[in-house]
Amino acid sequence: MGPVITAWSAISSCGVGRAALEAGLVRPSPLDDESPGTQAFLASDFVVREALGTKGTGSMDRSSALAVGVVGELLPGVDVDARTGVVLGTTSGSSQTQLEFTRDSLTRRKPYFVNPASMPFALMNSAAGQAAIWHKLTGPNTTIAGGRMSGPSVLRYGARLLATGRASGVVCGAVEEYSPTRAWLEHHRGGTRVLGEGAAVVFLESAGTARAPLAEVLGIATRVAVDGDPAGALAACLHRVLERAGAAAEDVRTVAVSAPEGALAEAERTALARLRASVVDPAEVIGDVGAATGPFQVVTLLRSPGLAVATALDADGSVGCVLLRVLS
Amino acid sequence: MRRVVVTGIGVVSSIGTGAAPFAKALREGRSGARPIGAFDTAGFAHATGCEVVGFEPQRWVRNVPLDEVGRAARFAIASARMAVDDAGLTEEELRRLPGLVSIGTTDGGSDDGERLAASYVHSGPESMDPVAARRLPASTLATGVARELRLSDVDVSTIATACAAGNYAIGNGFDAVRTGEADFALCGGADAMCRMTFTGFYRLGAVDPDGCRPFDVNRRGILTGEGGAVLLLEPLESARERGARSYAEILGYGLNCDAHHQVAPDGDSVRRCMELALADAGVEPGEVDLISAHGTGTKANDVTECGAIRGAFGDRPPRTVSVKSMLGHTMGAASALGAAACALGIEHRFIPPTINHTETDPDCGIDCVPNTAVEARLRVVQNNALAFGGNNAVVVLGKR
Repeated sequence: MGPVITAWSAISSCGVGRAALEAGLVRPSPLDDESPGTQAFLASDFVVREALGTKGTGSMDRSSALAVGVVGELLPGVDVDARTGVVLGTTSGSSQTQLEFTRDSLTRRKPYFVNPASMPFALMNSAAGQAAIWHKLTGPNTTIAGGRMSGPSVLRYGARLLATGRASGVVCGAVEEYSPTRAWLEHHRGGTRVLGEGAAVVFLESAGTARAPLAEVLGIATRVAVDGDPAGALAACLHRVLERAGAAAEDVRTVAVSAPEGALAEAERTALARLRASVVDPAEVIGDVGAATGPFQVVTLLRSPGLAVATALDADGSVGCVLLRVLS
Repeated sequence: MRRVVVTGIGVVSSIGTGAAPFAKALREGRSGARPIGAFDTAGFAHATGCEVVGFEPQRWVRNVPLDEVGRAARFAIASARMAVDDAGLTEEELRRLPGLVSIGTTDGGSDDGERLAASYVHSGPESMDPVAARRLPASTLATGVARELRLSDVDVSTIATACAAGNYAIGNGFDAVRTGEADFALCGGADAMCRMTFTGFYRLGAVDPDGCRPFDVNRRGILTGEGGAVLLLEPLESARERGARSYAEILGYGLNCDAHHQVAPDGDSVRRCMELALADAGVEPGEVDLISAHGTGTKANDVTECGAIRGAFGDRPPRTVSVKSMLGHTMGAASALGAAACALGIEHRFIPPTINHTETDPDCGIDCVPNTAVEARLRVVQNNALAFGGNNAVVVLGKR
């Protein structure tokens, strides 16, 4: 039996915590910064100093604060010990922090007049590391730069940590900031969707020890579309997880799509054409949350009992899916 | 659980590219230090680093368009190709098997990121290069390898646990092969020189003006470096069946998090990580013949790490070397290059030296095999990696 999800939490434009996301109020905010777009789904209810206090947050950037905040929302409902791990996905860490660090180096009187306190935040592992420091989580602590594949990637990696006994339970999820730098990078990549910021995490445990599972992870499959056919590769992943679970395509009741841009969106639709499931797209509620898309798909599915699928496609050619049995 | 062996090694480094040239350079104690040319160093009082010079990406990157992969991804691809060739395998053979590609990195595409940032700052965000923006995400390191080798049935991950990422990736590959999820793993690390890392360490006063001298009483910090290393792992059984050479067996590994401080390592936690790794490997401390230390050459790291080593191994710890004395700190590639050095040392029966060494810091209190390689039959070797964020990873290799 695969691992189980026993708890979840999220921070997004809907607000902080489970109830806020379930209420699902759509609230894109107008932007008045140097962003290329005019609006974004900002997690405005998450105010770092209110949520985390002033101690230790002085130089903390928003990506890391979101991670600390969402893990803090999750932990009261779970059993933590010395082998509790954290596995978070990301696209590139905080592009904004990286840009600001480089800007200081390029524009100040000396190239080394940079703020050394911001350097660790510029690294991609900052969010997971900060979450561990803040909440004293001493188990395996891993950051996977999976981009839009982060959902399947963190669950599979977390499941492996459980299967090998390296962790007793794993916080799996992802964080994506909203920042002008991220928005410009997405703009130059051809992105046209309204961006969102958010963080979503689930707690993954071995089936045998978990008290009250919300869902079983029945299968995770990923492929790299080296032949330029992401639809075919994703269909193969779906086939594999269903076959291994002894399920048929028509058994899937709900699909949460990742809804990428352009040709990949078409590939996702094509791969899912055989399914007769109801389709949900979390981005309609929270915007395009990049690496956090997958974890948000998973937590969105947790309200729909039965077999459920979350798909993932990244512009780098990787595709994948997660098959869940959501318990009622 | 299956036993897992290293049958292929691919390396891009400042002291040698390819397993055999790298092994020769390690044995000779060669230094990769030279003036940094990767970015403008005007305004810095000193700028020595361990850069890879003369790297010809088109030798290795043949299927993926070059402008779709940055320098770190090119290092990863080159290292992976070399590892496959070195293992005596073909891409066709690998395509038939479920596999894993896991590449560790600190900075991913940050060298591109800095050029994009310079455009943003100097000419406005509209002027950023869209081609560079597309190849920026670090995921391209692992997917680049899969695309180049046309491997579709692979679990790909770029692991971004900063300076311990190479060991994380190797551990991930080890677990996937050990449990039977994958029949081979291409795992390691890659990073390209970038301004941000250099500037950050420089600002902290932790870049040595001249050379990297781990454990030396006069050490003054790291040298930033770059490179890549990928190991091909496969089950012992399949390696035996096809008569492949095994450099070494991966015996186990350990992961933990200090959960204490962003940049200052916690000695107790580092010791626990070593203990986790040894327990996972089924090895007693007394059986370890050599430690390949994280050994950055900063005042704080070396004292803390050596203290942790004495905590785990007692007052007479095994010989403890730092290949960073030769390679500089290659960030996410560092522990992958360290693991490659361990495997080569086991196979070719030598201990790579810690170069630039004059006098061992009594606070370190270890035998760092100063300046000259020694011949040794190594049965169990431990490869340490520590990182910002308190991310520790220790891999144990051996020959049984």
